Amino acid sequence: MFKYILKRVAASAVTLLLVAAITFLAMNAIPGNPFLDENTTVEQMEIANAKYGLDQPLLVQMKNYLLNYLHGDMGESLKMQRGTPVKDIIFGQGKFELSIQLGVLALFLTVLMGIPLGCIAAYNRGKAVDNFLNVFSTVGIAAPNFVVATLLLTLLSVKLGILPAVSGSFNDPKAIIMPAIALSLYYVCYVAKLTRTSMLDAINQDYIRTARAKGLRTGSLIFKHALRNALIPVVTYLGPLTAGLLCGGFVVETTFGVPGLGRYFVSSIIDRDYPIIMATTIVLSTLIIGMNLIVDIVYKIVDPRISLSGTNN
Amino acid sequence: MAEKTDYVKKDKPLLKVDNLKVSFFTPAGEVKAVNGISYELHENEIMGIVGESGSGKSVEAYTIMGLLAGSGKVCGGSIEFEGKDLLHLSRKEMSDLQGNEMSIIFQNPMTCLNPVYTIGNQLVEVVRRHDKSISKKEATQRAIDILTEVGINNAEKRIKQYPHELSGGMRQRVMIAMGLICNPKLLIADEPTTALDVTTQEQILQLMKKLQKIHHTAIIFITHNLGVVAEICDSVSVMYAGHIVEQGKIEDIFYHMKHPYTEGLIASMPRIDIVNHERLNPIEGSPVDLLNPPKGCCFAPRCGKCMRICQEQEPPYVKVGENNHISACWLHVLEMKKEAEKNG
Amino acid sequence: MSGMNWKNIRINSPKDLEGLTLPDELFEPVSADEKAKNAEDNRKSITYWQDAWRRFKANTVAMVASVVFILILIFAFAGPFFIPYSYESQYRNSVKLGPMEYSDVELEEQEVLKNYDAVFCTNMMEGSLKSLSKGSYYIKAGGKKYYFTREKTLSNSYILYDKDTEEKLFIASSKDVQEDGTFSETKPLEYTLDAIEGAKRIDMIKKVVPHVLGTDSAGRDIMSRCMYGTRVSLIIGIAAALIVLVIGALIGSIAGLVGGKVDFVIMRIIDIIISIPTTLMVLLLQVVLSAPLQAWFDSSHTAFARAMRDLGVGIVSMFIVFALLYWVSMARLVRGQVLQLKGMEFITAEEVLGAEKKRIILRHLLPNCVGQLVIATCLQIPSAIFTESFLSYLGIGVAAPMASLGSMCSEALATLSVYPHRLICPALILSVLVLSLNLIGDGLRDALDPRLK
Repeated sequence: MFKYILKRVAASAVTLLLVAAITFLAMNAIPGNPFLDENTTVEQMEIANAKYGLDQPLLVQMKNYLLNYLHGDMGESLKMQRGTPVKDIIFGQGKFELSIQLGVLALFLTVLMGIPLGCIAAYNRGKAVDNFLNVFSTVGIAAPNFVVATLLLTLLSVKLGILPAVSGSFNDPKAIIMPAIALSLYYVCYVAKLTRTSMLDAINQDYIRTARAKGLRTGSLIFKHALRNALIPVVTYLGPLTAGLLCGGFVVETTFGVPGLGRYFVSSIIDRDYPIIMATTIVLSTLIIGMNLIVDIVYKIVDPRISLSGTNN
Repeated sequence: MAEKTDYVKKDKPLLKVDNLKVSFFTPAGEVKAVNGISYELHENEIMGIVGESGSGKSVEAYTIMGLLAGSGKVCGGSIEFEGKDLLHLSRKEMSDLQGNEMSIIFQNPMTCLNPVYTIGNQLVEVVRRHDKSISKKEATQRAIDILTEVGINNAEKRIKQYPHELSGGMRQRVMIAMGLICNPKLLIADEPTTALDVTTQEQILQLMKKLQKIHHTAIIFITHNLGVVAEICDSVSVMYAGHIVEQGKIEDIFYHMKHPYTEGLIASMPRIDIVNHERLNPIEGSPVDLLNPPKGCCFAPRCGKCMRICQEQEPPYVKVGENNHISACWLHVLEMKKEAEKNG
Repeated sequence: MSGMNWKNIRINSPKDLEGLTLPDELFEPVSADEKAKNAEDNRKSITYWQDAWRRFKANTVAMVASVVFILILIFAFAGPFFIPYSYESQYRNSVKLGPMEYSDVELEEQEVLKNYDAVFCTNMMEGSLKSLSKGSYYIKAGGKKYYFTREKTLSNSYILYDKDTEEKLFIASSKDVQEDGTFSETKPLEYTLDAIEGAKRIDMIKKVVPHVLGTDSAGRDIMSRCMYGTRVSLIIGIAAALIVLVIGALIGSIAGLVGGKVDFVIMRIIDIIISIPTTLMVLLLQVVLSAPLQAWFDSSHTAFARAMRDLGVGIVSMFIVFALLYWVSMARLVRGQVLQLKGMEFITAEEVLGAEKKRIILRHLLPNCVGQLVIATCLQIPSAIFTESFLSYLGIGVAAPMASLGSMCSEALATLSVYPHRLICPALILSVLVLSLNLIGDGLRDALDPRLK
């Protein structure tokens, strides 16, 4: 188990390194230099040269850049908040916390709603409940999160005036309701569908037939034998889910005016503030890859078939 | 238990299947998987059901065990087990029997054990389900005992292992242990050796024979392998396309077979007791499409002795020997007819 | 005898046959030929595709979804022929109209048509006749009354068209305008002016078409933008899915067919790519590629480059990311299929028979993979449409004057409280489109691969 975790951690580190390298190289492919803007003075150039080693070969530059990141130095903003260290922008202004709050809430909503709904549908297969949930989740999957976000905004805020249209901070619990629903609805539906399918799949497995032949009660059949197997694909989906929630945050934060990292990231892309784009990409990638790592380990616990050597399938 | 002795005294069958019909309702139409089969099984008896793939053997077994799922429906007939009509039991009553009074061993041991629980867990579960008074510790001991009995060494260690850590033969032994752990009166073995390699097959068969002698369990042995039947069974039912075409004691079926299909089956079986080797004779044609079954006798399209009536009418069962040896073929009717005419 | 069920009869001895009629001819043997004929009748075999089609047809949901999808296709591709407004033209007089509303000018023109025999207009300079009041200037010529509209004037001349035949009739000069609002003098048309615009205009006024869904703040017809946006979304979705299909199938089949080290390397690459957060990479590449792509658009004049320029940097970089990153699941699928099929006996048999590799691939591997490929591609389309609309919504995908459903939703956000329909229309179309494609994909999966059900 320990060896397995070690292997997975190493693999994740390689992926992260690769993402960082791609980010760096991609940014370097931009004509000019992403760290400097048009009005750079000679002194600034010298400082930059000293700091990033811009006159050195690309690989050395990349090494420096990655080392700087490891030390927590993410450069300075060029446009959005000129001169402010990117690290402070991301972590020091409450943006990160806001986005994480929203993401974690949506994650909980997804797991705590999606899995039970999927089980209920599978258990009542073919009945009215199943049909209703099926229609609901099918429609939910077809609606992009910005559609859900804007429709919620129209209905609850503009027409009914129940909830605030702009969620400047989450101090008011009302402010987080719509963003969280808009962010998680798609995934609730997806997870519900996934759970239903894999639950039905599990129910059709030979070992469920064995369990039935043993005379086990329905409860034991569903919760002991089917659910644990059915949860395996759901657990594997948690990785993509995290990525989806973080990137979905861009849309939801933009729509509801949440001053989080996602919204800032989108603005930085439109403004071409390269250091911020790079830093945000790497921070978010770290989160996603970290989540994938956790998923792999949980997966190992849920499914004993994954061999200890660390190779899947 | 008193009830049980009653049945022995009256020589009532343990299991009585009467004109059982099971169909699957698919989008393409009704598939009559089991089309009116009848037989009786007594205590301590091993009955073989032979037939090729798709002849309805397994469906029939699942129906007895109450495991029919999906689009499968019982369309008629009855199943009596110890005088209880299994088709009209409540779900709970049925589940009290399952794994306890009657149990089943499936074809593929690789997929029949839940991959995420240990062997011990899955064995203990059966015991505790049917007898709540047994403590976990006692149940575990029973699991270890039964595993040892089915020939698994180091059972104390094995019960902590997961199915994927065991070989196919081992898993089938575990399945047998699981079937026998509550000492059932009826054990259905649905092709228990098909998925195993030949040497393991032989070991499993010997094991089953041995265990049957000890526990006196009645066994329905479903297989397409006539060799296996010859080795283990007392009586045989030959199934074709959802029908039992011939039924009788093992010697009758092997040495005095009457039905053309049985003849074909036996002729296509490699044998070492025949010295002058001839070519094996496969049965011509291919199995019946159960969606569009032929009119009349289902074997008629492949039968070398097909007559006009065979294509029109399903044949009746004709008694063709002692010990309830029956066969469903118009040829026998023709013989009877000739005999009757001869006698006047 | 035909009425009796022999099956339930048990015959224990010849005595049991008494009283039953069994004519001898029934027991005549049947010849092999006759049996073969009978067997022929019994065998109603159908091919894989017939079977799939039968299952698909039986699937009501998938059939309804297909119909809806076809309706959306008609809406997107044939719809523009039925409305006279283009997606990019800004109708200055018709800014911010609600659904089915007419602009003042249109109302006036409709009114005018009741009183006059014809309308004339030209491509006159705009504004030169601004001082004219409603319906006050007209020409009497040849016993008919001609009205001219206020917009689009050219110097001081007006061309008159016949209302019915659209034939050019007269040319008039503004200096001949009299105080009572009539023109004193009209000359027969002697020099040609570009009259296309005028003809169009007449045509339009003849049957004033309402803006069914209203117009946006720039005076663009929302209905035609919806049609156009749907078309863009569809084309992008399908193109992206095809890119994924081609690259994924190619790499996957190479991995599966060649095997060995090649397979190992490809699989490790896939493992890495699969753990890269793709949406972030789309955004990143969008930033990185914008400058080089823009340079390429500006320098190259091929039709391909022009088409790409029309799509915009955002969408082209999305294609590139799809080509770079999204092929992995398709490649895995194809590799898995190929490996599975390669191990099958019929392929071995073919190899033993000495068939060429090409033949094996074309005759056996490909047809057996097609079902899976169709399903995966069909389900890839909505996911590509999702990504596109996501980008466009954030303002980094399709840019105005081009429209996509995502960008329309984003544009509508500003006026949400006043004109919610501007959001609801594209959002609804997008959702219904994705929904129908999802359902068709599910239906295809159930039909083509019954094992998965």
